[in-house]
Amino acid sequence: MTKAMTSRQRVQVALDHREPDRVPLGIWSTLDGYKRLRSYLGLPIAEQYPVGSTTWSRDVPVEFDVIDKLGLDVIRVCGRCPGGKSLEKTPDGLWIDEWSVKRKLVEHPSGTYLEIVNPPLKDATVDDLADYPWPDPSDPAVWEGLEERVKRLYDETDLAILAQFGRGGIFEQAKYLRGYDTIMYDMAANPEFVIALFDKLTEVEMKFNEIGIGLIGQYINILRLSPEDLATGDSTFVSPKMFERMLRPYYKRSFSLARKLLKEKNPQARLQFHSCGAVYPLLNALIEDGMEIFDPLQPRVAEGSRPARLKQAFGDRIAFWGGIDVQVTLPRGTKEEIAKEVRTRIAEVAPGGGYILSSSHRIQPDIPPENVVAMYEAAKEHGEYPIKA
Amino acid sequence: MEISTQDGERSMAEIMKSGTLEKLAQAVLEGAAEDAKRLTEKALSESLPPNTVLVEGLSAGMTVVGGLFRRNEMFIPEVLLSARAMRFGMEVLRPLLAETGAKPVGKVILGTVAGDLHDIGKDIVHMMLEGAGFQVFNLGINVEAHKFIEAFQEHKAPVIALSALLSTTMPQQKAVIEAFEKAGLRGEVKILIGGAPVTQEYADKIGADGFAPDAASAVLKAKELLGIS
Repeated sequence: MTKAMTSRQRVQVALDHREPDRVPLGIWSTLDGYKRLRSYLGLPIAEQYPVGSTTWSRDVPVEFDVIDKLGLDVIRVCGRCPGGKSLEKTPDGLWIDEWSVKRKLVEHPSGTYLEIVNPPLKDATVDDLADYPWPDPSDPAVWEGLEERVKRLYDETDLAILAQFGRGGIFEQAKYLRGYDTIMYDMAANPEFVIALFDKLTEVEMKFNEIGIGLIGQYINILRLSPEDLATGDSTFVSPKMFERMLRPYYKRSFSLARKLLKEKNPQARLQFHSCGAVYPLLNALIEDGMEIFDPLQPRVAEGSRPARLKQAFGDRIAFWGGIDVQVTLPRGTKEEIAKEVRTRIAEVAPGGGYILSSSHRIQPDIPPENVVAMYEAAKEHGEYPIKA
Repeated sequence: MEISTQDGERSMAEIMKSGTLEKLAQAVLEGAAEDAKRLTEKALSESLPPNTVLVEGLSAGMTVVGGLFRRNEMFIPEVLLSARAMRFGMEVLRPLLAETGAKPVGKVILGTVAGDLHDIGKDIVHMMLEGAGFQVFNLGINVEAHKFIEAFQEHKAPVIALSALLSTTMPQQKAVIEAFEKAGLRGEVKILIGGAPVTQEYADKIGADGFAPDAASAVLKAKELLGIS
């Protein structure tokens, strides 16, 4: 390779399915994991961090200093919570987000997670949806200062920019609002309600994207739609047939508007979609409908959906994000085990471009920061193109 | 309907019985709750013993569901629909089962361990166990170790089934085993563990008696632990 590329070039080349100078690197983190990482890197820890793109998960927009210090290539940006608030504590000690979903803070040895209590639409009917306090994408508080912040990142850094505007998604948010088991049951038994709810959620998601792209579409390389989970580690939640009938039309609608608006602003920008789990049976449909980057590659799902298989099946049509396991390797692996997994993943997925390496989900509270650093060091060491087998 | 020679050797009552119970099993498989209720009542009106209706009708349907789910040929929404159909049938049967003094095939205490608020997987296990004729004491979610002990002292169920969805709550399965040891009751129970991050290796490590990777296997494992074929 001749001259080193800038991060933005590196990411763009990879997303164009060509080989850059080395595999580009991304990051996604929980708040707890992020604080540990900052402390380990000797960077100051603020009293409070702005809420990331998914309020309840307390993911956090990783700041420039960390990205710079680790030599990463992508920075994530998002709007703020509608109403200018983030999680608020209720009188009964629960935490409520912009969708009025309440959660309980549960402590674990390595950190804390918020778990849903009494989903607000559990017993709702179609008529109740009209009066529900939906988050308002046109609330100026969401967008305040975003354009300036992102323009500065664009002008003053050479990082690639990933933006997420939606704050909940469709199937995923329906699970939170209705309850996992109830929405699953509804999908088989109560399609009228499901259709009404998905319609509303799709409308909210599309509005967030429309406004966000209008403001900063020209600066971003990757537009990430609100994350969805369509599968467990073993199988899809619903049958591929049911997906086709009851979910795909909404993704199609959402992808199609986002793509159209995004490409008008920046033809090179790419659409990223997230779903955990064993999603192989659904990927072809999602690609046909406009997904260009799939996030995240997860090595510990059912065999048919593992990274090498997905690359082989779809690598000429989509790029991939993720790949390094957050379930076992990163929390419990040695430096050598982490390097080995990084090498394997690069060999499987990086040839021909189309790969941004990152953890296979957010950096969790139980992942030691030295392991995060080890992952990125190994990726730089083994990620130079051409990839050595 | 043509009756083959083989069928001809069976009594009319048997043919009727197999017809209704097969339809009942089919109703459970298809998740047709009202049909399941109606067919349960019909089977009882044909003087079939409640326990036969449970085992050869409702449970037979649920067993097929379990197998299809395990092979990714049936998915959560339809399984929940089948579970509801089974419940509709059970509501008719339950009082009669109690009346006739039909013994459950076994008793299981079930719960999601402390710190873990996830219940779908556990509830599917509950339904599958009930479908297989077990009496299930479902303690719910976020269950502290001592609650399992108290439940055991009350119900004397020989199988304790522990669910954990998170890698961070798996250690609570070990804590329950230790609590039974400390209470001097470890020898009286078989401990079965399951949940997304749980493996056989982990079960061996913490000294659990059994591990089930999915709900259908949990039934097989519970039977195995109790020596029921």
